[in-house]
Amino acid sequence: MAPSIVVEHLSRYYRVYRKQPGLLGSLRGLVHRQYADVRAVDDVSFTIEQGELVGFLGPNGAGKTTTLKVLAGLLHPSAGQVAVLGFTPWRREAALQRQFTLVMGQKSQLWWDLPPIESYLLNQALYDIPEPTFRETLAELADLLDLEPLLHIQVRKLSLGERMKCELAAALLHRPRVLFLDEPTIGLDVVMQKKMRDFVRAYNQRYQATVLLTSHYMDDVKELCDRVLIVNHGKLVYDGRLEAIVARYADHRVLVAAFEAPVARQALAELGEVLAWDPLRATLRLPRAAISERAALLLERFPVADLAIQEPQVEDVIRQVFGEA
Amino acid sequence: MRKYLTLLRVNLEDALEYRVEAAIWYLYDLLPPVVMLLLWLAIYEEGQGLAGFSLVEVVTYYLGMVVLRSLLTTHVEWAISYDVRMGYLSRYLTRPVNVWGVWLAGELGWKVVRLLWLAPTLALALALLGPQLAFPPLDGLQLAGLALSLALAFALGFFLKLNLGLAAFWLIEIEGATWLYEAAVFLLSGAMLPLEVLPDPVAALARLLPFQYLYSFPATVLLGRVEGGALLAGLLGQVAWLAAAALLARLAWPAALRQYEAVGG
Repeated sequence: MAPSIVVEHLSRYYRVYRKQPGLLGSLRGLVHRQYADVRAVDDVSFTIEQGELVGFLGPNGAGKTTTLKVLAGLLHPSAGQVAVLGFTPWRREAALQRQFTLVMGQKSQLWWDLPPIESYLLNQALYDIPEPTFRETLAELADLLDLEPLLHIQVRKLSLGERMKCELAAALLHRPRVLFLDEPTIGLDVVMQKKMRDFVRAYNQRYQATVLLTSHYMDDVKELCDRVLIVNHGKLVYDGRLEAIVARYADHRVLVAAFEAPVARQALAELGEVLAWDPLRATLRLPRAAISERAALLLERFPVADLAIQEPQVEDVIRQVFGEA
Repeated sequence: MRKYLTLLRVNLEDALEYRVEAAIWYLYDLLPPVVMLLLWLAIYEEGQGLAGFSLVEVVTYYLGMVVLRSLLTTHVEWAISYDVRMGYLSRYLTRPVNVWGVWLAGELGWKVVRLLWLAPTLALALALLGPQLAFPPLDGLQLAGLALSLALAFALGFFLKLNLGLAAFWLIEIEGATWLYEAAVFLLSGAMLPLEVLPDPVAALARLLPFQYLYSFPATVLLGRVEGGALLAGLLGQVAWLAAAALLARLAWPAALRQYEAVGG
């Protein structure tokens, strides 16, 4: 089967006007403006197969949203080739538009002053969804997302969490095969975030839908995505399994030990780097390869009451990757 | 087609949510002609005439103008610049729908609400002023001409404002340009004063520009002041300007979309 999304050497530059500081600079800007190209996306290539759930990570301004906008046909690329389900997105052909959806956590597609059901009926018309299919899908979404009590309340009166659920339903009524989700959980509390995640996973599995998702919440990515794309300064710096990058970067483990009797810091330092210490408790940083050997030594030499080896935090690893690029 | 009817319905519902807002916008259409009419009534009491208009004709002209403004005024540039500035255009550009159709449906939705206000105003005016009005009987050809001139005037206004709105893709903020446009309409379209009473150079300028076809021409058709060849010439003038405005918008559209940066999010 052909891949859902193919991106080859995609670049997108923005022209920005460099205003000189101060009033004099403003006056100068009236007659002569200096423009500079900002490379929001710089020679990015990747392929996503149908049914994949891929996380798109990067610090603010790394180029994630710009890439999504190109994929959704909102922006023309400055260079490179893109195919979504075999279509060129910025030609904005209806045949493609019927098969994908774009959800922006910070941009509502619902009619603010009308209840969500009106936006749903509008989408039914825009996407030519036959009545039985529409009812079936809406019932399904309403069930999964608990929408029933919200359908007839004006959108402006909904809470953020409620609105995001309605937003997601609006975006999925036409049962798209490709989902671009730009921070779908932004601003939601942890319970609501979890609900949204479960829902995205369920949709992905039920319809074999391709999902490309950006999020600043590492839990979203950890729970949902086997594969991640990491961008920084417009460049793709990693494309692969999340565990693989964690393993690659986390060559050390953190060991926390509690003691029954006081232990000298000096003695502990022979085992590894001491990150924190008080006589009855210590945190050590140990090379991953030597972890079991050092743990055995620790148990042998000291009156250990309790011992825990911490998994490396994905956040820390990702921060490290961002920092390097 | 069903898409656009649904869009129209949703826009209508949306406009109905804002009852007070709609009423205020109606005053925007209603008040200027009423004020002008009161002014002219005072002038007529002084015994002064108005470029061959009888008092009855003046009253009829401004009442006609209330109707025309309610029917024909569009503010589509406002919706466009809002959608561009806030990035809301994205929600239509990613869905299978013609964006101009979206904007047109939005205009028509508000138009229908405007008619809800116009109908009682008109009934009241006719009841009060009935005997003092002079709507001349129009023959079939003139009636057809009137219907056509109204449709063309609305389309022309829509496309002129569409071009103004498209400027927002480059300028982002088009309040100044809109103000300039409205000033030109104010003076040169016949909305405030019949073109016949303008000083010659201004009238000459008005005859060179498209604004006369928005209000002045349909009004003269309504008042039975044109027929035959002049009627046809006027309609052709409307068609020519409409074609020019539509062509300009058509040419500017792809460039505008390239300019669009889908801000926000």
